[in-house]
Amino acid sequence: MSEVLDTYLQRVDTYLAAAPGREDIVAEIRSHIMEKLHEEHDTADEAAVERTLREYGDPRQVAERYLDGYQIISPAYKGYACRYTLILFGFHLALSVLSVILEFRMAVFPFFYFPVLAWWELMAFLPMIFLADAGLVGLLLVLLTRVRKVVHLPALGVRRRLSGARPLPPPRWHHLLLQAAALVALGYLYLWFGTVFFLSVNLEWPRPLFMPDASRFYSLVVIALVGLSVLATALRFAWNSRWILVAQHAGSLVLLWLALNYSLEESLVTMPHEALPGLLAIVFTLILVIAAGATAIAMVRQLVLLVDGVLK
Amino acid sequence: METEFAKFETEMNRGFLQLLVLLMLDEPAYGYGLLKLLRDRGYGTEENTLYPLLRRLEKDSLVTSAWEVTEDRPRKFYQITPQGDQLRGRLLSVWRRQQAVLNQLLEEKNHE
Repeated sequence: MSEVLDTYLQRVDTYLAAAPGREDIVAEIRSHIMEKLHEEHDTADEAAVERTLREYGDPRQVAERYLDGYQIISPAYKGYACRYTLILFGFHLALSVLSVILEFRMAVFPFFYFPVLAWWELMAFLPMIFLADAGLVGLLLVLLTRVRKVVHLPALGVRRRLSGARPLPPPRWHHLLLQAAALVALGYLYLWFGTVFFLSVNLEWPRPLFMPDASRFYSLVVIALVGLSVLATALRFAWNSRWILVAQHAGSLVLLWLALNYSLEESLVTMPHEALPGLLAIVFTLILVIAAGATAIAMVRQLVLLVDGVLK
Repeated sequence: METEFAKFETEMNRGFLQLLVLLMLDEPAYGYGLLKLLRDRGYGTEENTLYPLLRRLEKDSLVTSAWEVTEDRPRKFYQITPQGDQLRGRLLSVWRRQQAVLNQLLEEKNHE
């Protein structure tokens, strides 16, 4: 048996890895080559075999003809691959930067691991993070393609991409008015009572939720958050850009981070029931964490849409 | 230009070759024999196109196959199934309709 033919078939076999019945395919190709050599060349010397194999085609292309319709990742998911990777990387990046600033270590096995890093180490870490995220999204899409069921993935802006770039909707006057009204109301409460957080609403003398220092601090954070949104909405009447929203979200994240870092212990006023302060502290922290998460998502979304616009 | 033409030709031949193969498989036949038969009638096609096509037809139960040793050589023989026969009849009527439309359009074009 010709060594050239064996090597050729071996290569076809390797490329056929995903095709069912590859042994049978290779046997049939061998049978055809032998037939052709016998019928057309009347010889099986190496030169004739090589010529016949050349005519038959490149092993990879030969194998690909049997794999028609076989997809590793469905072309329908092409838009999602880039988008999901960017979003995942956005989260990963934000948490990595936080781990550097706050010097904390965190692991969510097996997808996220944040060691305590120096800034220069983070720079070296980022490409690996990106590759890991791209790999994870790729793997997910491979599995979804293999399932062969219709899976509706959350679009997260993919639809916009298909229908062309959609500009940021113009700001609404009633939004600005509502935000400004909220700011005025909060400012009034703060100036009058020194807090915007109340445990009981008694018009004569409402009872604040926090001790005076904490009360002032948390109230100012809330006022600043609302103030930021008023400023952002107002600015968008002059320059309606996603960058303003990104800046607003970034500012809000800093404020929420400050609030999360403020010690809640000893901040809550004494309660008649012992368990209540602990429960309130958990609820309050949870609200802050959810708000920070939602703000981070909104910011990453705006960044993705900005990148999308630049790519177009 | 030639590559462009080859692309269109391949596309056009895809369904047609399927029909030709189904027409030739009333009696058991093997790949090389089918190719030779087609070439003798002036219709050359690549091995690389025929064999994956035969495999697809077999997967869809339109043909069956069996290995046999004839003239000291192992050959894989294909033969049409009743299902393939039924499909062939329907494909032939599609092709006849296509041919009629084509002829009609060409005739109209010639009269212009």
